[in-house]
Amino acid sequence: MIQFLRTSLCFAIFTAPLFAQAESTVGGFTLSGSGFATVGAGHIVSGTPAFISGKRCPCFVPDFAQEDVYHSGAGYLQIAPSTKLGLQGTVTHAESRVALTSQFVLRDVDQPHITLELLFASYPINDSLTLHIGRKRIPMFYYSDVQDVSFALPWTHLPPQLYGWEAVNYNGISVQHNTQLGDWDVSSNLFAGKEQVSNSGYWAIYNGEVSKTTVQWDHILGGNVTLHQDWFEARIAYIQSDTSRVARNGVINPATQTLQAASNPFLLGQITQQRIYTSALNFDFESWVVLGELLYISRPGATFNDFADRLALTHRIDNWEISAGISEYIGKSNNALGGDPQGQESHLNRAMTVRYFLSANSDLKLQLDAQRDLSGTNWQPKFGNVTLLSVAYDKVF
Amino acid sequence: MRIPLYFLLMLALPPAYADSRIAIVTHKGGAIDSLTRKQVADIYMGRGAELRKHPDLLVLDYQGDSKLRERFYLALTGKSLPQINAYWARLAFSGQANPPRRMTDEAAVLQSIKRNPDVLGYVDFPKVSDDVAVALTLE
Repeated sequence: MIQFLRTSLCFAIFTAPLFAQAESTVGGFTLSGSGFATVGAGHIVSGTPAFISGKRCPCFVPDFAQEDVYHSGAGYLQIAPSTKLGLQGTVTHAESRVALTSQFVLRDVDQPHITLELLFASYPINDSLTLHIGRKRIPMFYYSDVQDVSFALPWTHLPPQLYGWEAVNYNGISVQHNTQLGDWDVSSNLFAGKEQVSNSGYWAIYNGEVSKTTVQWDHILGGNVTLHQDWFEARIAYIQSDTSRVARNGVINPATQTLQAASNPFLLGQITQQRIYTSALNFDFESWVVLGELLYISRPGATFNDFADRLALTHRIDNWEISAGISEYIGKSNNALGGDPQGQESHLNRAMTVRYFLSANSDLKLQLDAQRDLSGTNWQPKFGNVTLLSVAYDKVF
Repeated sequence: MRIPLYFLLMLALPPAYADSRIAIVTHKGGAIDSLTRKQVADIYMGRGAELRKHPDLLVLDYQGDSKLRERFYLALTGKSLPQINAYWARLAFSGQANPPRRMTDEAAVLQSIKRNPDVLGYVDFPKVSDDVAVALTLE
């Protein structure tokens, strides 16, 4: 904790001048800065005892991509892993409207480190079309773009059944088109690029931190369309890529939880292709918000495909928000290719959240998650059931 | 001394001449002369055709959590300031759009509008002067 605070302080001191709040104009360039912070904590209320990838469970994973794991071995109250500090800066050339946006996030109380989440240049080709080049979020889901910004969410964390994959960013190029069709705002986005994740957090959860798995998503190609009218929003996305993984140090055997040594390099899977389909509907009418999301990933040649869905309801009362949500992930075996119907991962989560806005820029949230492990009898590792109570203080500035 | 009840009631009630309207103001003779409520809502929520028609438009807001700001967003969108800020957090931290520029007070907003033809802001209606144009009035 002390190390985290020390690092936070140094980070803030050294970068504050670059990300000074509000705007300033220097020599035809407008500089703007803003930030977000979350102090999160969790308590494992109950669940299935186990020992997985070096962690004493019950375990709850709020964010697979960042290896955020609440686990009973961390004590009664765990400050990690949701605590983070993000800073964003944008420099815009006033005349050409070319802009450079960057976002850094300091995360992980136990092992503080800074990640670069956004670094892209944007160029408005015309009033409807904007070109982006650089590092961005993979726009897989409704909240993918702001998965670290807890103040933008009604919950303490995103539903892990949908959000949080082995890669959540990409380096590449995208073209955004905005137009009006009758009363509808239509926003379309096409993108292409690639991503390499060294020491993947996602695979550290399954294979242990010792595995040091490198993930490669090549030939990423995708698009998403959002329709918006007044209180209704609909979104569809398609993404395809090649995927491959290399574990340098071997992996933790999921059944025995012992290290399976590497043959150099330890290839977890051949290069395969994935085709990701997502959709979202969001109703934001007066004091009620309903969000539904669907995910399907087709993996040609693989022994399984992925399904996930989410339904969330939020009711606003003055400075309070009360939310209820249900989300599930289902690994569906491809029997024709030798998939084992009992060897698939599956889990279902129910969550209740109470949010109170302390000010216009800060909130306090309390959330209870009850997750059931519905995996097949042959699926390993068995995380089991878990109930998590989490609290978060969020601020934007 | 006995104070008549009607006199106490008069003190408790807001004065009849209090004007709670909010004026959406632009540069006099500028590119925008009138706007609908939906257009203003879209502009302040960072979306819609009006922003694309006026790509250089500078949209002004206020620093802090002033009563005027609270009344403005409630009248325009039916949402509270925290909800508006949460909405903008989603747009701003994804790099999709920049929120309106925050000014210190109404005098600064009016000054900026007088000087620049491509500026939009809002002020309490009684603060409107002859040298700016009113594009819309919110009751």
